[in-house]
Amino acid sequence: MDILILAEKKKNAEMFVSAIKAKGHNATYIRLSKIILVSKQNESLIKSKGEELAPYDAVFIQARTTLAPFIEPLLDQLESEGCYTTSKKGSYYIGMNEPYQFVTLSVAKAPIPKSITSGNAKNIEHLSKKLTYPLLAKSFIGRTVQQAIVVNNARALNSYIKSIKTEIDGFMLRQFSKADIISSVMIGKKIFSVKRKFTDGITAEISEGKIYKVSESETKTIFSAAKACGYDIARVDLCKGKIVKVDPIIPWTDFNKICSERIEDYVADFLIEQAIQNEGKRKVKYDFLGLRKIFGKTILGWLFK
Amino acid sequence: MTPTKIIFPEHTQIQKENKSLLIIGSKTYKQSTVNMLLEEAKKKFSNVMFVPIDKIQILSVEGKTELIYKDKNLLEFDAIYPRLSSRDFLLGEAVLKTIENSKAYCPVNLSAYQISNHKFYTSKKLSNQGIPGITSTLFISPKYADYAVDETGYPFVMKLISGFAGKGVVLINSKEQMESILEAVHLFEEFISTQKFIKGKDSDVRCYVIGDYVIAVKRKCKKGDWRANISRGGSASLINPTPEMLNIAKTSAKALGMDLCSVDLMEYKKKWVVIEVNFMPGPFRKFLGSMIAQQWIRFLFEKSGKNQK
Repeated sequence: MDILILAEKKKNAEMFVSAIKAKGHNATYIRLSKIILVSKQNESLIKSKGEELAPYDAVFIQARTTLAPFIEPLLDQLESEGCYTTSKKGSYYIGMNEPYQFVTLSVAKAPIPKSITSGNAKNIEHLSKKLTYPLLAKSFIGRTVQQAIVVNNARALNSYIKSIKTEIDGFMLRQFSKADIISSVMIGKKIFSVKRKFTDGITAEISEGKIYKVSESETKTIFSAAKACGYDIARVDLCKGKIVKVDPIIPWTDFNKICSERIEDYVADFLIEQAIQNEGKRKVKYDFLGLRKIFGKTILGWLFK
Repeated sequence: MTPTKIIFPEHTQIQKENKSLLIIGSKTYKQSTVNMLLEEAKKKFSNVMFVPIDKIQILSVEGKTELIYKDKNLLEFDAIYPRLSSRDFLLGEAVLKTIENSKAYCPVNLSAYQISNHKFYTSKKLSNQGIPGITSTLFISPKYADYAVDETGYPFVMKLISGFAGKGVVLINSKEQMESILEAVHLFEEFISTQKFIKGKDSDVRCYVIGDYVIAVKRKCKKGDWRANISRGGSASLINPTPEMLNIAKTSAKALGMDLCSVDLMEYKKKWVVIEVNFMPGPFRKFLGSMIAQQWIRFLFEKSGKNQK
């Protein structure tokens, strides 16, 4: 199988490339910034440093959701070529916009804390009456969170709103539980979890957490959250059984350390399994006697374009 | 192309039915456009409401999301027409996702909003469907811009993904010019899209797609400006669309999932190619009066209450 790891940095890809190669399959890393998407009269292409990307059976993308405007057309193209990807088309737009992500989870009937989003600060205090304190208040410019703060009552919320001097695009208020967070990494059907203690108003980092075994109901919630957001590999955070975060970016080394595992091996197994299942679905351009593949990257490559 | 007699679909009897329409406006909505839409809508719908998106409250719990304005549930309308721009993304995506799961008829969908506000993605999506467009590229790092130029050649048009109404668009004639602009663009962490420059005749054609019906308008650009956007000046007049224009406009709208939109076309090597698809086209009030708005409302009225969801 030929598997591609597209990542922003080499260090985010190396462990997966090694794990896949150790299992006897081909794995390649390409830096995301080297990719150029091309749309022509009747076809679209993915190129890396001027060369058309070779056909891969599976692609694993490790990139921040803020890169959604680039990743989304890339996912669309990979999907139209019949290539398996761990993140589905539309998933990066969901990950980039928190109010949209929570609506998506709500529509999928996944458990989420009650939340209200509005574009106007004027009525935010009035809106807060529909929720129960404490609240997590977030302000946004564009789709980016500018500030996030926990408020315990209406007075604190009011003073937070008054403290915002810049023009913002929206507010989100979400019911907040002062409780431990369960951070999980989901790889297909496999879940690794870490419990992060909430003490004195602060949630511990994953690296300070402890290994945790998720319940049946938590397992169901993690799967439903990742599926609703379009990820086969994702991080899902739960608080009192409700989803508070879904993200395709995973702190792999922290999870490995706490769970005493080499999670990259599970990722490799999952990617190989998906690549095998996807075999035959890949729409490869006509390649007479396989010459295109053999000579495509050589000086004679232009003959096969 | 000389203007000839244009035939419009007949309005159904001016008879109000018990139908309701909600128009959701961009937070930067144009009051004159809203007034015109409301005026036309009130002639047909018994209940019409306009709400700017930033005044909507989105209330989400497990399994249920409501759109509320002044304690009114906005999902109870028969038809909802969201007129949103790329500046409304934060709330726009959430609002459209909610509408998609309601019973209201909506002439546009969430995916169309995301794609049509992304010029490269639009071009890519259409080219995959065999709809003629112009060679375009999208990349992150200015370091590899030369590879993008290999595809388009000079001169080319550089667009920022968030650009709209002809703003954020630069014509680049040389490597030196490209390098100085890329330096500035990179500071803002923008995604860069380039498009082969086509020297048009000083005009383009905007096709308003209204369901299966198309109204074509020839737009002439302001003297000395290579962009034909009316919002930047210029003039517009009605034309009879050719079968080629009709086919491209309708197929483009269908490919993106829009019943109401506009498709901008330009002549290139004696063929029409798509320049842009607009999620929230203006009605050209200055040149066409309320004609476009009337057709939009006619269509929304016919469709409302017929949603198959």
